[in-house]
Amino acid sequence: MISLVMSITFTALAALVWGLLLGGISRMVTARIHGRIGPRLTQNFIDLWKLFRKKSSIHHGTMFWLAPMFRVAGAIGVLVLVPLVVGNTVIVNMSFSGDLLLVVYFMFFGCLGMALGAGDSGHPYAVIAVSRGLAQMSSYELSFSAVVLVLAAGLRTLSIEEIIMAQQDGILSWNLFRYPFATAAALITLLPMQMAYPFSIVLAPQEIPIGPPTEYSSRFLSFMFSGRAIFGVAKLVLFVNLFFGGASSWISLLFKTFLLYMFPIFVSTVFPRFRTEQSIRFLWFVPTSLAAIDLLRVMI
Amino acid sequence: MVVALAVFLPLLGAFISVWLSRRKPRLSVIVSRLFLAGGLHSTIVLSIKLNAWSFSDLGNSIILRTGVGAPPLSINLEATGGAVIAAIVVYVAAILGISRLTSRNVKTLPLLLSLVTASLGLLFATDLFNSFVFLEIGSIITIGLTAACRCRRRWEVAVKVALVSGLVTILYLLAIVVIYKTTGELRFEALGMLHGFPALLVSGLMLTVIMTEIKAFPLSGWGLDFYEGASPGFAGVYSATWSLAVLMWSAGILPRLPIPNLQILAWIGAGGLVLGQFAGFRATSPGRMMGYSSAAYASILLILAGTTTGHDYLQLTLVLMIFAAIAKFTVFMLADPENENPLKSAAGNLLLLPILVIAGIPPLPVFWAKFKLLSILAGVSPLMLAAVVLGLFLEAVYLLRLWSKRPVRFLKNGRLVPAVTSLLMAAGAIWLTAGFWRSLSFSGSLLSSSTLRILFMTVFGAGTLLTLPGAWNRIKGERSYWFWMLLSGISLTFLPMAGNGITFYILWEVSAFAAVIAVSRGSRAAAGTFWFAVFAAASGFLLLASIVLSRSMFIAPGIPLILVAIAALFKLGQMGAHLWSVRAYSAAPATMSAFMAGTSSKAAVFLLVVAALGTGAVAMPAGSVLAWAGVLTALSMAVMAALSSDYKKVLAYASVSQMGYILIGLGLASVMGWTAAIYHTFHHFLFKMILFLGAAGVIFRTGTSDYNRLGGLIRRMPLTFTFTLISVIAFAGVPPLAGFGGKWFLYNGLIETGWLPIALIAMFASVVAFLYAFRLLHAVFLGQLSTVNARVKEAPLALLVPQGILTAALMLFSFRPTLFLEHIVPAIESLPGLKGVAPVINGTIVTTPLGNWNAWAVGMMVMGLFGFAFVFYWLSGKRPKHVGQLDIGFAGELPPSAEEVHYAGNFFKPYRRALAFLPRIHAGKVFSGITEVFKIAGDSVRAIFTGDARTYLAHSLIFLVIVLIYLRGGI
Repeated sequence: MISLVMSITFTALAALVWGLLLGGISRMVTARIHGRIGPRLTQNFIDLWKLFRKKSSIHHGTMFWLAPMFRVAGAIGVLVLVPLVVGNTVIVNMSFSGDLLLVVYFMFFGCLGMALGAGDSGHPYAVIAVSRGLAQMSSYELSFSAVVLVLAAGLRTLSIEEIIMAQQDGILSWNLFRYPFATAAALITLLPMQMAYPFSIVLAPQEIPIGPPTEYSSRFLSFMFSGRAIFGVAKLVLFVNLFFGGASSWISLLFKTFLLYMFPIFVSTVFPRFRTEQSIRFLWFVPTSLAAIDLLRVMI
Repeated sequence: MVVALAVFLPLLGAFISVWLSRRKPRLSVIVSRLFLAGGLHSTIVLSIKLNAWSFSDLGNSIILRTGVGAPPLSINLEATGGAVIAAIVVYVAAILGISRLTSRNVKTLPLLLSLVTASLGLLFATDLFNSFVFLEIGSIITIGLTAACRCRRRWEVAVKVALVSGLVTILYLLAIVVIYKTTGELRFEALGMLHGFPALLVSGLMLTVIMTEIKAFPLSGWGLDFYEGASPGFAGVYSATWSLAVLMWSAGILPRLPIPNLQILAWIGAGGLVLGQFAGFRATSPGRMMGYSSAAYASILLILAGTTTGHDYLQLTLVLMIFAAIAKFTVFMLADPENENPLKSAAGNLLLLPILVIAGIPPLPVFWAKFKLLSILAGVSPLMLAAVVLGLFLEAVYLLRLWSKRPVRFLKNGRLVPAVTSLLMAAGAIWLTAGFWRSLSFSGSLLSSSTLRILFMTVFGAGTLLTLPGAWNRIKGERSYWFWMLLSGISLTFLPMAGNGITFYILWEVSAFAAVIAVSRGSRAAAGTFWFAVFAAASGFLLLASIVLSRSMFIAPGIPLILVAIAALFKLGQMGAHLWSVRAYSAAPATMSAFMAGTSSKAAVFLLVVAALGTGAVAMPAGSVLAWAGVLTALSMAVMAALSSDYKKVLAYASVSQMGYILIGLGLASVMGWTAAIYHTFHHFLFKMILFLGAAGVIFRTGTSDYNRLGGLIRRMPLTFTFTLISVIAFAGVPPLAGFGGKWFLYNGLIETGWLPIALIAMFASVVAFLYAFRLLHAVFLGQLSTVNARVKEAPLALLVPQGILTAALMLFSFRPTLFLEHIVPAIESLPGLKGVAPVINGTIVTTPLGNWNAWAVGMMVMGLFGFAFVFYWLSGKRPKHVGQLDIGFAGELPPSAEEVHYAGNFFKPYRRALAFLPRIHAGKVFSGITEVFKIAGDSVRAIFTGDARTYLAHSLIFLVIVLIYLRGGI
């Protein structure tokens, strides 16, 4: 029990640090592409610390209060349900407690909490963002569900460990090569999951200043920041596990997640934003059609 | 002597009242009543003497000879058991109707008494010529009473009746001449002695005479005009006296007609029933509807004559005709087109009973006869059965429309008469049900698994008990409905105990129609009740047809199973049929919606389970069809729910959508699929009840279910919010709460079977569920609290306590689903015929061939993480300061009113825009389309009823020619 608690604590902290570092890298890379110098690598740590130490803070009600906790618990929860490194018996966390379906559905936990907090804040922008976010989420979940089905039906399992183990016979056994269309679809859905352009309609700075957390400040916001960083890492780990053969060591895990993280950043910097309905329709049809190709292959 | 008294007392009364009514009108009414009461007494004595009430010796008779010699020179009467019971109804109707009929014109009193005499004479007649005499008297009095008014319309009707009666007289006399010339006799038995051409001619003539007299389609034109045009008072008395007597007399003649194959009568009846009821679909006035309904009963009489004989025939005709007569009498006694008083609730209730009686809803008396008739027809010809079921359904539709739309004003006073007749009908129901009690069975043998039986009984029973307290919190405009809800709930609770088809059907129908009544008592019920009633009737008739077709089994494979599947889909309100469920759930009183969506919708699941198991073919008829229906419903209704902005409507759509998952699970016909279905059935019961009870609390306190007028109620109703939140998280399928389990089993089953497209759509639908789930929470409880609701109180305890109990159960089964699965999975595994492997339960872990789920571990983890984050926040610095709801960062401006800032309407506008490419298919329009087709069909049938008496004469003559040609075997 104690080892489990320690393992979860370690994982969460490591993910927080890695998530903030990746965030810093992304800010630097984006700035360079824009031709700016940009902030330093540690800027996210500084921001987080500043927010955490702020003394004045307001709240709008119980759900407003609880939403950051939902966010943090949801993010860490997803992280600990996913196996991190193949064959590592020290840090297995809770990955034996559920399969891919559980992880996919548990990903909504944090989002729902966040949405509730935004609703309780009473700010119209926050709720507009939530309505957009939910609409978009339901759209990309269509293609992501198709991807999940491809993997589950193709490999005859829903267990993430078994999905990883099925990819251990060299690079060509990765699902990236076994189910290329499904992987492409999954990568497209990674963009809205990471709120990257052209799907960044939830935060949409020019329209609805930062969306759901509009009313949040200080310590609440620091929780949300942390939650977002951890959640981002959790999603990357999940993707690595599902399509890129999992990670055989910590180095490989960091490397693969880093590379995967770069994908939304590069796409993000060169595309403008969709309108909400454009985004929804794009996500309904394009990635789903891609995934459907592999789905048909699996069915036949 | 008793027979003589029974028949001739009214005649004596008539003579006296002729003399008395001019001098002392009031006294004459009293005296007439006394005479009628005397006659009634004699008939009751007679009925006891004949042992008629046992219903087994209806053929017993007492013969009375009058005058000298044998008939036709004297009047000879024979009081059979059946005729005596009909005579009692005639007397009761006359006694009750007398004041209504004579209130404006006391001079009609002698006519009424003579009509009673004529009716009794016809009932007891044994001889064709005697019958002729009584028929003439009756017709002439009918003409007189119809015209007893100084208005043109009634005169017109009277002239039509006169013309038709004239034609009937001619044809009947012709027949008599032929019979007398051929056989030298005029007793009824003489009909059997005919052979060759005379037999043919007499059959044609008599059939035309009878069908015209009993107003069977297509010779019913004059009857329709009569019921519509005559004063309601007289039409009522007429239907329960003269019309009843004619029907019973015809019932005596029809089987004696010298037709080689009597089944042709049944075909004429069945065809007439369908066509006539199509025409009735378009009727607007209650009188005309009653006219169509009598045409239906006339057709049923023909069917009976063609398919049944002996004891069955006597019993069935008697029960059908007397109760239909009483019911029709009651409706007419309530109707009053000239009175301006609006319908009062009591009158509405009084109207309902006769309508349900005529429509044959169990356990009301007519039902037993109709059930027996349909069972007989199932053995004669499925086509005829289908025609009769369709005809009866159409009849039920317009009758229910009469009730729900109430196109006429009803009497404010004078409820005594309908109340008395209602008592009679209720007594009849009890009496007949008691008689048929032995055919019922409560052994529960339809569902062999006692675990599942207990599960369903728990759902039904607990659902009823938990909604019941809430029924006392009524909002303005709602009338008391707890009794009907309780009745519906009790019959549902007994449903799993049913041991045979008829028991199941009765419980099913009682529950459905009690729910219809309860819904009709909502404050905005008009919109929902009618369609609910129509679909309830449709699924009832489908179920009935399938039960009678299955004979000894509950549901046989093949067509009966398909019919039952359709009935269940209707009941579940699946796509298409959601028309009723969405309308009824949102129109019903709020607690009633909880009962319906949470509890009674599970009856259809139970039906499907029982039918699938009972047929041995657990693979439902094309299980994939069922699954596709389920998944398309799940998706489309989820989208509708997301785009709807009415609290109850959203819940209604959501409920229908969730039932789709259950259907997919059942369609899978695998252990995994059924586990998913049963798991979801139980949990859907838990969280849908919580949601609807929560909605009931909100609506009770705020008086509205419109999203745009709610918001911010978390501050005023924190407990309701907490319960709603938990159930929303549960039904959205977010771990660690219970809804996830249902989805997990379902997807496991779908992947196992390889139904990936269905799995994909189901997964998509479950995510769309987040849209309405959040919208619901936000629009009602979060956001800005509007000033109107600033002072509302928390929901009443009667609603909170049940929600609390349900939430506790939900939490328990969320964290420890194995407590539930331990019992359910073995039960499902032991069911015969299910394919696939069962999930394995090991401690708190559930394992399938594909994956695993440890709800307890996940639950503890979430609680731990959440608790950690919470404590960490609490300890890590100063508490935040609570600010007012309008203290928000509003770009440097002052926010306007809370109502303007609250964003609830048109919430998923981009979604609507993104969907714009889809064609708009409205179930409402589809059903209006179907209704339109029915209307056109009805109109084309109706076109033959021109309202011109000459047409009606032509109908009779043409019918005669056709019948003669048919009987001759060609021209």
